Amino acid sequence: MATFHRMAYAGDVLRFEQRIEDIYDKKGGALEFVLRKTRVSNQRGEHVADLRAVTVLRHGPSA
Amino acid sequence: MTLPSFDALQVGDAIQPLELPPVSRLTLALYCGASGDHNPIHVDTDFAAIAGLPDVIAHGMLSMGWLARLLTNWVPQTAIRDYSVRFAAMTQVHEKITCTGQVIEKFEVDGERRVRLSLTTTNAEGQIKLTGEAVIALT
Repeated sequence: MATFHRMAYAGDVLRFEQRIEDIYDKKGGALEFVLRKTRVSNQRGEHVADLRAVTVLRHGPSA
Repeated sequence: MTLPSFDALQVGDAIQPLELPPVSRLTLALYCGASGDHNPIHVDTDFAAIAGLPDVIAHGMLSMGWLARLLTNWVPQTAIRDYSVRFAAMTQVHEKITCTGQVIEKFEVDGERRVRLSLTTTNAEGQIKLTGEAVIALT
């Protein structure tokens, strides 16, 4: 998910600061979810965007 | 580009769909470079076979890019407030993808009139590959 606060223009230098906000599992650990949030700012420190991504890790049945 | 009229739009209205040519290997190879995503599953058929897939698959972010193009074909980029997608199914090479958007809500935030769209990409058989939502400012 992306929420846009400002435009980014050619020549801007963007800074992406990413944090792992949460890690949780479902189905007894068979699915693991990693929630990452990223704050994007430009060279003047202005807030450009907030990004949110959920990655799913599928774990096979344990041997 | 003129903004669509908030008053004229109704919940349920569809925006002009975006119909893409079949996904080519060249497009996937170029998108590896454009995106920096060099995962071989997008370009190397041998690697895809080892992963148990019939052939290479498109990058998820390529589909997200197509849906963004659907939006910017309709409104200027500055009007996009929020944009999100979920990857529902893999897009295979050679599939013919269509991007669609439909107004699902009209609302106002801080004096700014906005519409929420539901978004999808589907293949020729109508299978949904991506679902998404976008919030567009139409003040």
